[in-house]
Amino acid sequence: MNKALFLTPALLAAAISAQADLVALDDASLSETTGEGLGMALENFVFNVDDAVTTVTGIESSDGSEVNVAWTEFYIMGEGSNNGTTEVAGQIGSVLHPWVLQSVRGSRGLADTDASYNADYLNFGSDIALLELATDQYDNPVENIVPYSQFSLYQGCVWGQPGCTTGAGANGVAVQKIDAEIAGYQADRTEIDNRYTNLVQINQTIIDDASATGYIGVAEQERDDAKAVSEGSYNDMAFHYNNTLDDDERGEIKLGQRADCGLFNTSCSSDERTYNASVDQYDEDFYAYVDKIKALTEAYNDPDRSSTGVSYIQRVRDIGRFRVLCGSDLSSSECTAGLIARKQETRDGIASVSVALGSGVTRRGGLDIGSKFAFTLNSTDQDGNVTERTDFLDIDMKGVYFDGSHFRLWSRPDENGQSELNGELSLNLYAKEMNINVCGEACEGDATLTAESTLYLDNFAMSLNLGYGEIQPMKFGVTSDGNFEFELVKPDAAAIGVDTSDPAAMQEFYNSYYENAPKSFIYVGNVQVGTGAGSNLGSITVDGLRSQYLKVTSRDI
Amino acid sequence: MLKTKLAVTLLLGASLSAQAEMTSMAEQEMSDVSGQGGVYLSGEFAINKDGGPLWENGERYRYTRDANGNLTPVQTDACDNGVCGLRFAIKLNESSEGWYVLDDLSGGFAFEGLTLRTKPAGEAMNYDYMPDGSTTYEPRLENVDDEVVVIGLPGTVSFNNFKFKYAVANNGEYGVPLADGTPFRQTDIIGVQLDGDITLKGNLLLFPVD
Repeated sequence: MNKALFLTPALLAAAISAQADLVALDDASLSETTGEGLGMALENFVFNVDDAVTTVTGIESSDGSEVNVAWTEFYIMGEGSNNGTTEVAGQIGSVLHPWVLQSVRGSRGLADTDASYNADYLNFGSDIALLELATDQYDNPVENIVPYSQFSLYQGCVWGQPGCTTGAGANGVAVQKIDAEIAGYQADRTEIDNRYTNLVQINQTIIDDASATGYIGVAEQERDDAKAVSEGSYNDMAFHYNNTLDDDERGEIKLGQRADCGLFNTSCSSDERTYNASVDQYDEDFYAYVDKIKALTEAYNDPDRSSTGVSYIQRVRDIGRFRVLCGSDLSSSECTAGLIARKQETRDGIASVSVALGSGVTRRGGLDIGSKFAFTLNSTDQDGNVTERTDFLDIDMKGVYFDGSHFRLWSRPDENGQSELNGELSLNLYAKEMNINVCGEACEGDATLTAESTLYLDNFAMSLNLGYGEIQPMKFGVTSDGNFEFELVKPDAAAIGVDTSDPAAMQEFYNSYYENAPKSFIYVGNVQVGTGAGSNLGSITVDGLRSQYLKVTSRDI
Repeated sequence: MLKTKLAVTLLLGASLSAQAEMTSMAEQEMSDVSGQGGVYLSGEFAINKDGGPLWENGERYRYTRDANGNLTPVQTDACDNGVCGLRFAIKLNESSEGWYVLDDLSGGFAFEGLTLRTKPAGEAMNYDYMPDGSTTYEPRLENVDDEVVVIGLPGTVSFNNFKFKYAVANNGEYGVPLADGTPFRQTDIIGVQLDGDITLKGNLLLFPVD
């Protein structure tokens, strides 16, 4: 069934491209066209359902009654539509920057001289084809959603809006901010460099000191041994408490408390005396264990016990920090990977945007997208009286862009050898403004009240990345009880032919995964409730999100 | 039960140019003429507007399966508005136990003025243009000669009691238990009903890309 489903758009594409060929392409054009994909663009696009009555069903309130949801507004049009009230034509892609639906062959295993080779598809085996829907793409940083949204966030405002028309250029606000951030990272790195001459050797001292004969390894072993002895004493004490004391004796004390045997240790039973001895032994062994923990902590922090003159814990911290800043190659002095390199790349993009905008370049217009819902549901007060009430949710996004996004689907046999649909999603979204209002009827016609009760999210940037080729695909399923199941599997080295029994190959695989698998982020430059003084709540940053494993299953409630 | 009424009008331009071609156009002139014609479509699609053949009285059965595999109806489920719509079930994974379902799809929509034609793409902005020797992008309008298929959206699409549900189920066929006797289960995720006119304007351009 799945094959039939996805053949349909492919056939459509073939039919349409064939028609275009028949009408006008000359021999030269024809020879240049390989027909790999279908380009799409919507020019002068307006979509609006405001005249239609749309209701949404299937949502129930906590008392089990159906919530009547009226979808009273849904529009997609060009930027400047004033919340969908003024019809402005929008452009979604163009002939030179189209949305593309295409079937592509994977490139893993192909020589880079192969005609089918494409570095974008290296995480897919060359024995499969994938179906891809990709949005418009731009190399120009001003038009590319990633550098532009990063520029906006560092600039702290939406360029072109009131109060945000100056401060761009080669040494603009955004450039200065990210330069200061990079300088902070460089200072961290310099501090580490000044402490050591050879990080590979320092890393080796960490391994040596933690080995069975190293001073940390010995202290850890002593702690573990003391812990085992202490646990044995505890079990012995618990055995005597639970199995040798009678109910009356147990009723007078709790486990770990000594039984009162009087001044001369004679006013209790022999079982109680044996139990007391086990308590004493446990106390002694437990304090010995605590002493070993203290000794280990001192060993971690003592620079004098290290041949390097730097404490073990400081060396571990420094090596970890260096890997964050400069990547996993400790022998590299160039710092070509890691946070500094990534921030430098971001800085270059921001600087390009800043220079262009500072010289008067304007960006293409985005889209305005909005929806409004009215939920009618029963509300029960404290006396049990049921009344009907209506809640509202109105979302308006202004200046929205999606470029650089893609959705890929492919099929692979699962563990049972059955075909299984796999997917990968990369969704970029930038909105100059996102306004959320729940005021509804009370604010109808009152612009001031509406403005005061609106949540404003300005400079909203999101990149949602789910899946990383065949290494970590998304999988879609339905359970036998009729609920959907979405799973992002854990990274699978075997999927790209890595020998999972080879530690060096696995280390390289994970290094590559953490270096290259895309992360998700959400930035909101400015969060504000209402328009009054003190209504500004600052910014929100959720950065560096990456799921090693994710499973979502619906439940019918 | 799918009723389709299509009124197709070929633009006059197409027949006129064909006539001219027969009488006087030279080959060179002929080769210059392309994509002048088009199709103007008005249509109304109605799907299960009065209920489908399987569930004519607006109710659907749920069955039990006995030891011999025979099905016996045990329960009836009423469809929205007394009309049972089309059911379209897809199993995305061969080994999966479940199905994604577009269910109870019925109602109609009508449009007038959807056009289909081809034309040269014309002027388009190249945002990635960088002059030779330069390191800065200088977006410019470029003339693109390639032909594109243009679908002119109709402006207004009228929906008439159009409804569907998106659901997941453990069987593609409604109400039928699995072969091992597991009862049929379906979870409706969301349902949408649409009535009235929506605005849909613009041109959808379709073209091959490398």
